[in-house]
Amino acid sequence: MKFSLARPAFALAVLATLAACGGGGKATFPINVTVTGLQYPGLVLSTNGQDLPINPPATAGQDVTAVFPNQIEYGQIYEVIPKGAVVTNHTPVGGTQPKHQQCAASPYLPYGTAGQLARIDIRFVCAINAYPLGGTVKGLTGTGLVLANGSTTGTIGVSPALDANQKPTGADVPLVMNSVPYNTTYGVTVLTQPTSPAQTCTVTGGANGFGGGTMDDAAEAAGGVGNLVVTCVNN
Amino acid sequence: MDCAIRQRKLTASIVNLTTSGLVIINGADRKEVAAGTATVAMAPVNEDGAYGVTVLQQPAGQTCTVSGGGNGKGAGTMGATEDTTVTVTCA
Repeated sequence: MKFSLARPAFALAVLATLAACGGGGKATFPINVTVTGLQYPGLVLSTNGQDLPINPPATAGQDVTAVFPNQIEYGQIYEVIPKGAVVTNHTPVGGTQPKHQQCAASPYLPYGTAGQLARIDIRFVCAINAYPLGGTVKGLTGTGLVLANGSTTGTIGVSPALDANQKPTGADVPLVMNSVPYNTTYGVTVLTQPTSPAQTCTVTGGANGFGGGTMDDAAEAAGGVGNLVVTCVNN
Repeated sequence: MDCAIRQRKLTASIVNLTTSGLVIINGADRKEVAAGTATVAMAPVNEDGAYGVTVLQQPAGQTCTVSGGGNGKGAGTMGATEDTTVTVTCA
């Protein structure tokens, strides 16, 4: 590979140092990679014209370590990204991510110049994708309705739609629960029924028809679960 | 110093389950329940945290409903002093 014209003196100095140490050869640097949290296959990292497929660890939860096939020379610039990602100001978007996950460089910068640091240490952390869970609340005129997805991610309060005079209209209200990670279950229940007027709300929809299901492949392909219906009637 | 929120036990008492296939959940906490099971220990719940046990999947040939808990239907807010048991009755 080419050195820039500004660097030969420095490079020579380094080579001289290496020779003094008995190294003799070119100063080259392996690009070491550690990936944390990887659970699904498909991740391919890329830099300097090289691809490095990363498979999930044999033992779930362990880090995966890997090294790009070819070392790079002193002074050569590297930037490790998911293969094919579009990079703007060192921020990659897209690229070859694992199934059901997104991996991003953290906590170290995934780019630099070989020789800048004693060791090129690329770290990626992967998180499970989460998808929206929601739907519609129908007939709500009372106040104080609180919904929960079991004990997961807190509670959601829903207020009725109001007209210009601040009177509840009973019109449909969008329901937005907290998003649900891939391959986990959801089960939406009414924690607190509305009052004034007192109403009883029931949850339908979701994969099982009763507000429950799993954020599985079908739900992922659909971009989440949006068919929950909470129907409220006066007592 | 590390602080953790205190948690309370959440237990599901299973009544009259004679077939296989029942799956009960508390949000993301999923438990498969075998025929003849009497109690299921759900994951502990934060004090003052919400819970809501529902049937994700009914067992073959039976229909199970959830009762008990703060609202009588298997959902509520975990108290500060006591553990909670909800009841799943199958028929």
